[in-house]
Amino acid sequence: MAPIEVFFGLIVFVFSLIGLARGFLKELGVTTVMMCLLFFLSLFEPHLDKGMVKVLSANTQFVPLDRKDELECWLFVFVIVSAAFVSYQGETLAFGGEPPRGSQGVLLGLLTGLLNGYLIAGAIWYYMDKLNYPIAALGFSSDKLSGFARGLIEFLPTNFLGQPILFGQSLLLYLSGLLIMARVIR
Amino acid sequence: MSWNVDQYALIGITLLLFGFLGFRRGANRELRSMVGIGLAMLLARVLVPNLGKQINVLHKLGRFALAVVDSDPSNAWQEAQLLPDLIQTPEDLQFVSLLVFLGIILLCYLWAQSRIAAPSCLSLKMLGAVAGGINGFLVAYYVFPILLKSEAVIRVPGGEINAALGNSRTMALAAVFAVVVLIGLGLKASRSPNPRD
Repeated sequence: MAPIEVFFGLIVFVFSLIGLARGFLKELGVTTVMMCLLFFLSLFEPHLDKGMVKVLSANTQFVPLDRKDELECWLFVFVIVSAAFVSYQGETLAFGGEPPRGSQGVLLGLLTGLLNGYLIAGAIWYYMDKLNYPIAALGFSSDKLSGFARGLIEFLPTNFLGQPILFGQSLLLYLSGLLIMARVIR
Repeated sequence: MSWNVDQYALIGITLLLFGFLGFRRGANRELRSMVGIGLAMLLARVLVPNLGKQINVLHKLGRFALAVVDSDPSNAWQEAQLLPDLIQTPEDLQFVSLLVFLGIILLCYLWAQSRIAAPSCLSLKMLGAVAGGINGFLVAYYVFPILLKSEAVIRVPGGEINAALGNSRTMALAAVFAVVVLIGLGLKASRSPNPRD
């Protein structure tokens, strides 16, 4: 298996190419959805953890409690991938109007695609890391991480943008608010 | 005699200077320069560590070529071989990386200046000022840790500056400003769906 930073780096690269093809305005719709999703996930994550323990404790005959982390990780991956799929499918939250043309349009599409790739791949990596890489099938583990990969963990979206900045609220909230306002005004 | 300069004052002056440049140049030019700065950071970090040996060889070859004009080739070659290496210490290499970094940035700024149109309205100028500030942050983030090691007449707290710039919160704020510029510029450049606009 390739190192985790190569694996997620390739995903981000593919998303930047998708952004290039789809254009800035459609990509911005995806950014809005992903930013809001990451904010809500960071908000409800502690409650979800407690809920999972309760549910699994009541149903130990179906799923043992020691597989909680794996189930939780699958749940997060499923939610993130589903949200990404829904926001890419059709023109759900795409911003209206005609995207910029020429080199400016290419650059903006590429950068927004890159940002979306970072949000999606970074969020999945964040939850995998937080739950100590419980999905064995992927072949990642915390002791196999390179120094570079360890350095990157600090910059994963929920770690990096989840820091409280103003009034004890995270940057994810402010960015989500800004994007929603831009969408409404547009 | 020496003057002490507060780290935030120095960072603030850098951001203001680049912000002013951004205001004059506009968001379109600054966005290209931002991509250039990112590339310059990458190239200076990845390429330069492998360049030391090549620079030393090229330096000796150049000196040999100059010396061969006055004396016979074997003497010139021996003289060139006895010359000390141009790049000897990690600090020398860091200085080369700084030159490569600044060279690429200068090229990007000049390219954007000559190929991209000047800002046509105030909003593009304002976005340019924010983008310029981010560019200033990126340049300071790379340049200050290399430059502010030794004490000079103006004493600057290099450690504090590097800590303030490398702080995760500062970097997150810079990233958020970059996203805001990206959104603002993109929406400004897109044609509005509303025919009244």
